[in-house]
Amino acid sequence: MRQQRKRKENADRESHTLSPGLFIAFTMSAVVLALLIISLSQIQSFPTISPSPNSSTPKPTPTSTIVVPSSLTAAMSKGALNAPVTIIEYSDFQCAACQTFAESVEKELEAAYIDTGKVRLVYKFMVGWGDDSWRADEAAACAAEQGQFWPFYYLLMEQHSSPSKDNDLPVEKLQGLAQQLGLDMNRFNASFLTGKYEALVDQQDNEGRALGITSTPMFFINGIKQAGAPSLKVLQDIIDPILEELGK
Amino acid sequence: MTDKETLSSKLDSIRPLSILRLAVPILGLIGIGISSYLTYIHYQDTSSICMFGAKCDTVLNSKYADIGDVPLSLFGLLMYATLTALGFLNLSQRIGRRDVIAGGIYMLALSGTFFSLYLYYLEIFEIHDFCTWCIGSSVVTFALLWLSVANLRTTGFSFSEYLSWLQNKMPRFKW
Repeated sequence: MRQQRKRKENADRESHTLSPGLFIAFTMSAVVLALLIISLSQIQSFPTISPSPNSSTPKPTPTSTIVVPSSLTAAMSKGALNAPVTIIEYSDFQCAACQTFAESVEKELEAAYIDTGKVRLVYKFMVGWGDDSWRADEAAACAAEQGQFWPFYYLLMEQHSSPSKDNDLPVEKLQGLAQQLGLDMNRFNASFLTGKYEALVDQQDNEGRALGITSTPMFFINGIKQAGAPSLKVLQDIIDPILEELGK
Repeated sequence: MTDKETLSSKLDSIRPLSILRLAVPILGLIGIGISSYLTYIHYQDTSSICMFGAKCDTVLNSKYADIGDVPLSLFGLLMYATLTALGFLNLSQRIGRRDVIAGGIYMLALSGTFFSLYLYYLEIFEIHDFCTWCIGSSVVTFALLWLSVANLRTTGFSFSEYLSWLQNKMPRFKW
């Protein structure tokens, strides 16, 4: 009786034993699975990319084929989502004309068109100069991650950084500006020091170059290209006819 | 043999197996708890509770913490959920292919261990900070790997048999 039970147990055990072939198959699958996830995490810095809010309306803007992370797109834009006119500004924090525009015309544009729901302004990075430009863009993207792109943008433009000065926007200075704005510094540093938005800056810069941009700032007003730092009058002459045509 | 002896020998034969099997879904549930919390933190965009002076937010907000907008913790959650399901399945006495279930647990735990080692590398050499939750999750994964190997052995799998099988399959060399 006891022997019979023992035999049954052994038979049971054998029928449940993993064969060496299956063991190898499971081990290899584990290695492949781990390698797959590791390579996925390395290749894709921004794989879950959704279309920018502008692409929902069929306007002849350069963004209609461009995709960026939706949360950052929202943070780096201002104005009503359904505004009839979209201005895409390609800019650089070290470019003097961009700084002038940020401190003067942009504020007038905001009061006259953005706050009234007629225009939506979308900011895009161009790396016009060297490492300082690049660092500033990455820092601004990290501020955008916390929903503070525009305050950071104004603060950075007010620094009047110049490409003629070497290391004019070092890491410490950009961190200081973030601190001045009261950003969550643990979060800011985690993104900034690990180059989280390097790929985003590179993507937007390449996008701008593909559109033939050779100087900053560059504006696309519902697809109409406008170079340099335009006065409000120049912008009005483009925006108003569009609004009129759309009956707005 | 008395009834008492029969019961005791039955318990002796069942107990070690059951504890090993039971520990898998329990650890799986702990893993689900940790990874759910980290996934919640990610989508709520809030700071995590961090212990022992570690800088969890630095690690969790680093560029290595997501694959796109999908946090790694969500992949961890999927892994632990599958491990827990397999663990519960393994508890059933009626299960037919226990070898495949035990092998599946071993496979997931092994790949989780490899990935945890990669995350340790990132924390040490790239991020230069640690996250207590990530360490907790990796300890759970290491424990699951150990349990899964012990589990394989209770199904009769023996590494020496495996090696001799491998030797038979390999071309013979003269050393």
